[in-house]
Amino acid sequence: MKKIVLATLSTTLVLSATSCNKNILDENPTSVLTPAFLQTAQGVEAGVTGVYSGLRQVYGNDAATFTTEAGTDLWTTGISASSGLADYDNNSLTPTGDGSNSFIWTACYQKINAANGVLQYGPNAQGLTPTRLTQLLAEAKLLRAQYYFVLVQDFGDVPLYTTFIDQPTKDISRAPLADVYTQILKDLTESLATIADKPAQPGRVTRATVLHLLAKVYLTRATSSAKQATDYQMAAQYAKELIDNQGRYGLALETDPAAVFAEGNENGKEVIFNAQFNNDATFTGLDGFTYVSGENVLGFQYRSRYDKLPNMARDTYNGRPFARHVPTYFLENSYILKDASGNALESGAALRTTDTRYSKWFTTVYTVNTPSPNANGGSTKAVVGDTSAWYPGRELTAAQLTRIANRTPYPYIVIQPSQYTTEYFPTLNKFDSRNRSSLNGFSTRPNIIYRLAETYLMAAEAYFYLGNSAQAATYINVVRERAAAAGKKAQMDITPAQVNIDFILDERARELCGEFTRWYDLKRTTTAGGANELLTRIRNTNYAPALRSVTTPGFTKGGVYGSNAAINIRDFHVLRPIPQSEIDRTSGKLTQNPGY
Amino acid sequence: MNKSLPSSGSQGRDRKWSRLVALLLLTGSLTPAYVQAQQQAPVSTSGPHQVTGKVTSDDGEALPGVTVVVKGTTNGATTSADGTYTLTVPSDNAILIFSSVGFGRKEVAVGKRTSLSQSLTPETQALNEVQVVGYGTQKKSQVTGAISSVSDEQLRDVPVANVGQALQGRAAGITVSSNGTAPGQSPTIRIRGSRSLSGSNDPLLVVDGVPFDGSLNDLNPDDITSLEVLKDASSTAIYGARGANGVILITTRRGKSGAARATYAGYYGIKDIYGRFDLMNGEQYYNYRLEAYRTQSPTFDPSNPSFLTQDERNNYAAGKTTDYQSLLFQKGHIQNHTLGVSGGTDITQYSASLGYYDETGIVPVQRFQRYSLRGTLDQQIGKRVKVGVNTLNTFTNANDPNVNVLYQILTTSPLASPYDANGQLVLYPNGDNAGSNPLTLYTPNAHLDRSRRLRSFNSLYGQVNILKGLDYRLNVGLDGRTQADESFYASVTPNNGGGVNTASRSSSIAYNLLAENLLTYNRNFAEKHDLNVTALYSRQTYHADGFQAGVRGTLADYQLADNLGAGTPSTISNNTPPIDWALESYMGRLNYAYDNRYSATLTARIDRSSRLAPGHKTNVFPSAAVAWNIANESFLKDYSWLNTLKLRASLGRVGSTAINPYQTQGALITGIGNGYYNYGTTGGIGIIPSAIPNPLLGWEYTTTANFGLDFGFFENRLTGSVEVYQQRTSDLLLPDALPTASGYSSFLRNAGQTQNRGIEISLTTVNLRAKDLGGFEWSTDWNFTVNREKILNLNVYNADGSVRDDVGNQRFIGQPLYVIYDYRNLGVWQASEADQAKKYGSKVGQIKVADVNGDGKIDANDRVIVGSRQPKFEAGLTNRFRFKGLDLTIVALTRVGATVVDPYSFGPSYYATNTGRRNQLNFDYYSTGIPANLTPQTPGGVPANPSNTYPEPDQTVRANEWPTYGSTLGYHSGTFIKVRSIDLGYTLPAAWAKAAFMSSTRIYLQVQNPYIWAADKYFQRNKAIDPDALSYSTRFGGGDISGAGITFQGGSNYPVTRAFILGVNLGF
Repeated sequence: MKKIVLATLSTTLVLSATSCNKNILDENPTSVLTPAFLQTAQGVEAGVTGVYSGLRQVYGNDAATFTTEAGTDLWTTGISASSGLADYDNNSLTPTGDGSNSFIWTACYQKINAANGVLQYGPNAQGLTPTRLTQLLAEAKLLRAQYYFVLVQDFGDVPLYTTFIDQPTKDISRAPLADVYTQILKDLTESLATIADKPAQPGRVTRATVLHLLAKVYLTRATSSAKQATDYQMAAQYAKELIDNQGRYGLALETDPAAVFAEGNENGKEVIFNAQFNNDATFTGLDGFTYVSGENVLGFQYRSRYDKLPNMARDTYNGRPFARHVPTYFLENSYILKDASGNALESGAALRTTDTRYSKWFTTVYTVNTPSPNANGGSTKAVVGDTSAWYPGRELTAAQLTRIANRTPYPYIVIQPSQYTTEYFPTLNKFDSRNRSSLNGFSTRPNIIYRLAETYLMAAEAYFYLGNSAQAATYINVVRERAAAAGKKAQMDITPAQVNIDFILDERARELCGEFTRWYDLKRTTTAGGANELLTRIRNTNYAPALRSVTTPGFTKGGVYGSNAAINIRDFHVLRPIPQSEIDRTSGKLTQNPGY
Repeated sequence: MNKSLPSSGSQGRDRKWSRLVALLLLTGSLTPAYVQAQQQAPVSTSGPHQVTGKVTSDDGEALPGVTVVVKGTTNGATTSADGTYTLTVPSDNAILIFSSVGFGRKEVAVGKRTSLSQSLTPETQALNEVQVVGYGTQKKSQVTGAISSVSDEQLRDVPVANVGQALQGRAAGITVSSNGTAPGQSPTIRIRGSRSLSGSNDPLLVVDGVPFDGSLNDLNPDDITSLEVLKDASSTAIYGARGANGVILITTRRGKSGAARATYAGYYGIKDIYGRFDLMNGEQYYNYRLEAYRTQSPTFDPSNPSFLTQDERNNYAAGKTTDYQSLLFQKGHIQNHTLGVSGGTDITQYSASLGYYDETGIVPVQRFQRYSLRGTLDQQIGKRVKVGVNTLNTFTNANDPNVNVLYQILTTSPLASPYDANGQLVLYPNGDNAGSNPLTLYTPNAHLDRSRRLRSFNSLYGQVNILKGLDYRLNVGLDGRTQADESFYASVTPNNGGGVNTASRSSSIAYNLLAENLLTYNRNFAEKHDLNVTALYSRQTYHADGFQAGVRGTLADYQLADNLGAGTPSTISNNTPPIDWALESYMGRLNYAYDNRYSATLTARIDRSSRLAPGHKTNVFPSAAVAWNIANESFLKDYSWLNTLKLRASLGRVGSTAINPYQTQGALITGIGNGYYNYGTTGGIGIIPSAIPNPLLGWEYTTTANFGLDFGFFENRLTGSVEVYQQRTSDLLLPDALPTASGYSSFLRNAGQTQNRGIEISLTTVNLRAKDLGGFEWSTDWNFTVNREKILNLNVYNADGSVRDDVGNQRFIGQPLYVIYDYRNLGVWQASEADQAKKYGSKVGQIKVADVNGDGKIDANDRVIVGSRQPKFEAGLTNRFRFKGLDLTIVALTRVGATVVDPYSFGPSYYATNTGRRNQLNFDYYSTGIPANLTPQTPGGVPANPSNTYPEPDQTVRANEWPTYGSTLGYHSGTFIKVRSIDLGYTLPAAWAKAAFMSSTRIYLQVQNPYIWAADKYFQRNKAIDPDALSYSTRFGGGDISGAGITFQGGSNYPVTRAFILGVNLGF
């Protein structure tokens, strides 16, 4: 009896312990998303947002300014963590050392694949209205074109994929530049046909974005090896269409240049395309120390070390100073009004007072926020709100300096152009983010990528190449007049005879400095003599200042200014190195650009 | 568990045997099973009386510590140092059982005797010793596999924090590398090297028959009675899909029949850093920084304000240095207390213990505490049924498991004052955000980093004897754990840099359910044939999930992470996404032994896993092994010096489950930096593809061939074994770095093959054997391991079909799995080489690397394999000395010939830059000298130093702050010799112990890490760095080429520590 009981008991145990769900070996994950999700309505929406998210990486990280603004005629090397891209350093700007372009490469291709997924699976998605679906697919196409456009400008021939990659592959090689441009234009043309005129939400791309981008792509292709005879014509046509119909897209130039970059106006009427960030910690990395790629550091990049000035301490208002990019004298002096022969029409205290953009977009005065001595001097006699330091943008006379030095209750520091160093220089303030919640926190503002003022300048460039300097001058003057001080519009105007490619480049510098475009602008254009502008300007130390020690007596008696860019740059630097890891991983199937 | 025993075949003794089987099963120890039972005729009944006597060995030596129990009761005693015992027996019918490890058990009827002396016969051979193997036990003489055991005694040699440490240097073929000195760190364990290139090379842990995953710190080492390491396919194949990395069987204590016995083991110790980092002081830092400025600008004058802050200047002038090592490194303590009680009768045995472990770090706050509680109960029900339960519960509390201020200690300016004029801490002492003040973390309510974990590991068995020799056993395992982590950082801490404070909490739960059905059949036929058959059917399911929430800007610092609602949400996620997996298995094993001379084992396991793609879920893992006991052959019987000689050979296949669930399906991810976006104020949860589906993903297999020789000579004064093996791992789970142009950066696939070949030698020598009790004894355990890893194939081929290196993943045919692929450092360009340096785009004073292909430039093609973390050999040595009551044990180990990557000199880790921006270790750097007038604190100035080891500091702006090719500075010889512990103990004479109502007392003094010798001068100068801890701290991935693909796991390590411990083991 006992045996039977025990036998029964044990049998029961066996069964109960092992007769679980029959399907224990089937996997039904609900905690991960699989590519099949892209075939749902929610999947298409989220997928397109994912494609957008790459804009944060391409236009928000260190790499954003290093790959587009560093190493140009506008900026020279700053003190902290510079990059080989700033001075074309042959030890750093290498296939293994160039982390910035490698980052851009990876970010673009990941989002291109995301776009490919949306465009491939999205059309089958149920539950979206046809209008919504069409709009989302048009946005994805535009963004895919934008990412390819970045790649093709940086690297030349690049791998070209338009279908979702669902099989691992190393069989990747570069497609001819012409094919990449063809695909970009195809995407844009298709998007143009269906996309909405105005954004449903801030940051969404629109028909205006397509027009602007089309103009830019044609303008860029026109000087590439894939150029077509009609490129300038097409560029002019699309730019003009956008300018002529700006009201249809809710666009217009701001009347005041300062308003363009006013905090809170990042989705304003002049803005065509931006990379979105906000102050919601759930969606935007804000803490300033957690780098997950995609946080906005633009507020830090162009900022000088104001926090080391006497009576100054770092604060949220003035921002976090990375001091990565220092303006060149060329940039600073480009705001001085000149006549057709290049002679300055302003001097002394009147310098840069006709063109207001310098005074609006560069911070040249700091006011005392900590009246106590710090490492570089200061005194409790200083008064909060009083001037702490001034970058006059010109050399002052000895008498002026003496007067300032004898000021009561406490003098302020004067830093003249000859005293600029990698730490002390006027700060570009277009990206200032003063509503950050913490001292070192990342910027909470969207970064503007394209805006209507550039459309005018692109139109001018296209018409100039088409031989219509009058039309070009008209467009340029719209932008220049907007920048004029009150009552000085006429002085800002130029004549058709003044229009040439160097003037256009200089105007782009004045208007668009710091806005992710300069390296491409120089690379795209050639001098009247047919030489590449990038190589020409960087080799000219009037544009790219040579490295020199700054030993003037006074506060800034030490440091360096400038870089070795002029010495280092080589002809092949018009293209970026393909990341070595990509070459290694394709076993050399992906070839390197010449020279690297 | 099951043990095969010699059976007499005599019907009359069956009852006794079954009881003994039960008893032996329950002890779960290595107690010799050979029993010489004696039948005694009952004598006339009488009342209780006292019995005294002396227990000796056959040759007359007194035997201390022998258990003497009145049969059928818990009434017993233990013999004292002189072998005597005193016991009161209830009646003249009483039977005394004498038992002791290493001796045959005896039962003797007392009768009317008041004096009963008894001699015990030592186990003459290892022949009848029992070896714990997977799913049971085997007679040691019949074992066919390669198994290393660590006995109870060895475990007691060194008090350790966890099981891994107990194994370090103790067994051949097992590499244990401490991962750091922070309390609560689990070491890395490798059995016979690494074979898998994907995540896990960790062995499978099995505790009392139930697979155990997770932290080794969840086990109290005092609860463990033996460790068995299964190394070859014959012994691991029964774990099938999980056996490829070896298996460690952990057996915990269970009750024994006999008098209730209480034990207390406790120790307390002080630990301090073994040595300091050789860090630059204020004056040295001043000179280094000045040199960096002057290299860039030769006329640079230190009075330039950009050089130092006023505070730094003042401190320099006053000769002051802020030494963060002194400010933060402190003494820590280690203590452990375990209270146990055990006992039982023939039918019921129990044991219970309570433990507390507490270790503090060498920096403030850091602490690890473990509370453990366990209990076992074994109950015989009737003649055929037995049930038992085992429950192990631990609660661990770790403070600051993640906070590491070593970077601040080593890099913050030594010239800047940590406090301002008001005595307030300054977050950035010299104004540079790259150098924060670590002291800010240690003000009240500045931070909280705490991890609390509760684990309950339970197993239950029921066993039924169905027929003679045939048993059915059901094992049920229930293993659950839950963990809660909290963190908080105030505004003024390095973590938040003066921004808003941040707080987060996370919790996770995981559980494992296991049911195993085992049928075993053990028979001996015709005296000479031993047959043991085991069949298994088991199912295991696993589930884990977790949740994390983080906020910023909480209202009140003092609430730490207790009121997340008072902050703004910043992160909310399933930090452990819910996952499930299941494994269903069938296993069969056949052992056959003939005449204790020939034995063979055949096993096969079939595993079916949920993790693999449909159609690929089932796999078979077979193995076969034979053994030949040469010493038992009649033609060798006459050689008395030969005690054991056994040859073994095995071949089999095992798998590795290194695949995480759901990997066959592809994935889209979402999160900040991974798809999140916003449209104005509206958040956008975007997704991006992150993993490619792989419907063909399968397991990797390891096929192992093993040859072993066990030997024992000269009355077993020289015993040991030699193992020779080859392992081939195929269908490697290769995390294959993909060109990111495909949209993905890596992919897991089955491809390629690796090989491990090796020799392991274990030796135990009794160098001096005591002539009489208490005489001088000296014995030594030696172990020696050579393992060679080699990549055979990576599934990338040249056009002609030959196999090719995979440079993108830094994997090379014919090389070990992890090699360092970088430029070859030739020193520093000297003044005489200026022209050549210029030709290579470098300059005098900077790092010179080899132009390997001689093409006149340095580029990616000049990278070579500069080293590997695979050692040439490893060895361990344990010496034991015994004299009277004194014992001395010294445990040492060495690892020779590996190249390690040291983070403190490796450029990309930012500890060693050469811009002079931060403080760093005191390197012998190239210097052109500084005139005396610029260095007031260094009279005579800094002389030129044409060093060929570390480059000249240089402020010149470049892509990174470390010198070009600065990664090459971090590669050092990892050769070391480490004396892990010296342990001096004294066992009190029995009479003294008895006077204190104790049966045994041992007091010991121990030094942990008394001595570490490193071959590399760099480590000799920086005694804080333990080359042992660097052995596995690096991970290699193809991704980051600029850092030679090297990243550091868990950041950096605090200095290695030395501890002095005083402990006591008491038995009542």
